[in-house]
Amino acid sequence: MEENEMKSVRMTNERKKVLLDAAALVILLAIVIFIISIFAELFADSDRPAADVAADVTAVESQDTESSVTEAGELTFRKIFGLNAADYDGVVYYCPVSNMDACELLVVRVKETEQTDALVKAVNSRIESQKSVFKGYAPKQFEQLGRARVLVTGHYVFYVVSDDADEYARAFSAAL
Amino acid sequence: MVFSSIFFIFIFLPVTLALYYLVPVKLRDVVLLLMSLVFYAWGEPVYVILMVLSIMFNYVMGLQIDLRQETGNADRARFFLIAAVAVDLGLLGIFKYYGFIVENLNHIPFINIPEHQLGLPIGISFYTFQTLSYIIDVYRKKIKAQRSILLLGVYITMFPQLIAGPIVQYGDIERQLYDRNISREHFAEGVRIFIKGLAKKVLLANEAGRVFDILSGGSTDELSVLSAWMIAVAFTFQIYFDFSGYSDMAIGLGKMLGFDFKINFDHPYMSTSATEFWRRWHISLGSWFRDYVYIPLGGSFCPPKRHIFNMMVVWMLTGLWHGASWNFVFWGLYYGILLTFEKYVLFKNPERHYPSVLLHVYAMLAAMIGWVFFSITDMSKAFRIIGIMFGGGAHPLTDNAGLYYLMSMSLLWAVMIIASTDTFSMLEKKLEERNTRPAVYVTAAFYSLLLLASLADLVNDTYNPFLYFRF
Repeated sequence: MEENEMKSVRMTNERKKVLLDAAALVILLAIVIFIISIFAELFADSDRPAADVAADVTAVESQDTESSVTEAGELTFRKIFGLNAADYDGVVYYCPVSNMDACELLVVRVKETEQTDALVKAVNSRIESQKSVFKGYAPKQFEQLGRARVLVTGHYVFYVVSDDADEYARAFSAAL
Repeated sequence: MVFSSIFFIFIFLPVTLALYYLVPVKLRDVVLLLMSLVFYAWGEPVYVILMVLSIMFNYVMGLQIDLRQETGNADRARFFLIAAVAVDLGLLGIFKYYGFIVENLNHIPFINIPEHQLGLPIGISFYTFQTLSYIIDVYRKKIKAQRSILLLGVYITMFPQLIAGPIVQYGDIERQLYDRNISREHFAEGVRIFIKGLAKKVLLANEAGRVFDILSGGSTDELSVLSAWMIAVAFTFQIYFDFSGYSDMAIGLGKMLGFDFKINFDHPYMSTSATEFWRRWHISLGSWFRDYVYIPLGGSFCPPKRHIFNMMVVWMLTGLWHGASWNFVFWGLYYGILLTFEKYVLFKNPERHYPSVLLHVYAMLAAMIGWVFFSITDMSKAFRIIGIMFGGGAHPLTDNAGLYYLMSMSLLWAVMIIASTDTFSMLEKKLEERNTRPAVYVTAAFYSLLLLASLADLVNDTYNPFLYFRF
């Protein structure tokens, strides 16, 4: 009788081990698939035009930003960043409406990924120059610049200065 | 979703508490798990899948280890422990340190891996350390493996401690998973602690953070000695009131749900040494590293050389835990060196006594210098700021910005200094002990005022940074 009970406990344990092994393998497989999908998305490059991406980004509701930026042309882009818009696949730039505003938004699709370094450098020097303009007399604008977001994803460079910079950055990532 | 937001305070929290207390008792854990997943998914709609998979994996591995130990198969139990720890640390490594590793590998000639920013799952360091403590304690037979995936899920995902700690060890909360302290007094205590944490975050940390952001944002070329000190002071207060504020809010929310978490901060700026500072600062992290890294490495019961090695490993890892950047590693090692110095030089002779004022000044200076390394990612800039603080270079003694933030916020700085000590908690304790009607009214009025002021600030001000997105 006791021997039968021991046998049955052993069998139950063996069955448990098999079940747990199978469960561990299935979950591990799911984790690996999850990681692969995240990396596949990370390395995948979108082919959406910059204007479409910018349209999705500017759909974010931010009253402060909407009222303090205006869409700028190639000349303004060149004046602000010292770069030629024609060298890129697409440039959408919303510049501050007045000298008292710091909010701005830029979406660029580069032709070659080698162009991103120079672009990011230009954006960073724009942030620094704006900070030196606002430092000392416009704390709100200075704070906004401190929270500016610059993102590089595949062929796209994104830059925003806004109270809702994180929202815009999320919209940019989702738009690709 | 963060605790210090109007949405959390007026929508998420009331809905969660209403559901939690209205459903039958046996469904409370289901509500808590689901609402915790909603809380996490709010900011991390994709990474919530990773967290659920991690819970399932650790649940199965806990059972595996337990079963192997029951059947006397120690080798297989050790194998599953190693596998679980490897997967947990592997996930942390991939999602937290991928960019940092690739960036550093690319410094090696002929290596050019494309650099992409992998979004960091919020709170991954906190929940990974919780799952590790669970798995290791099951292996050490300190606890039994949790048979219910629902309860293990509640332990890991519980929203009060999910994104900014404290790191709750399973053993500390196991009993409470079955038997919670649900009472009006306990709930009220939770509300008070939550309000205290909210006020620390919104009224003090955010104000100090604003000064830090403004003064540290520009170049150091024109920085005055005063502004350099203001940078260090502002961040010293910001990080303390922010982090201890979040911990208080977590502890308060835990109490509202019937749980008791251990305290995470015990007035660290009252310390008289860096060693004492770390016994009072982020206590749950210090305990975790002590129990799962320092003691297994041999702790202090070994020759000095080995002990110093153990300290350096623990402090380097502590630094790295705070973020994937060299300044955090440096900050960790800075404390490793300081604590070694205190143990083997400063306090080697227990007979030697130093004036306590001197020790307080030393401990505060050590903490403030540490915070400069912690807060400024650019190491050369951090060194420049510290240099300016101590008169290095030809920098002016004061400037308009430094004077403005010192004078215009003088009252707030004074409140921050007092709030860093145990003055308020002593006062509160005295009022509580008195338990007279006026004492109750004074306490109620004080907390109501704190809540109103915090809410008004939240409504009016958009500056409400979340510091732990890199943790």
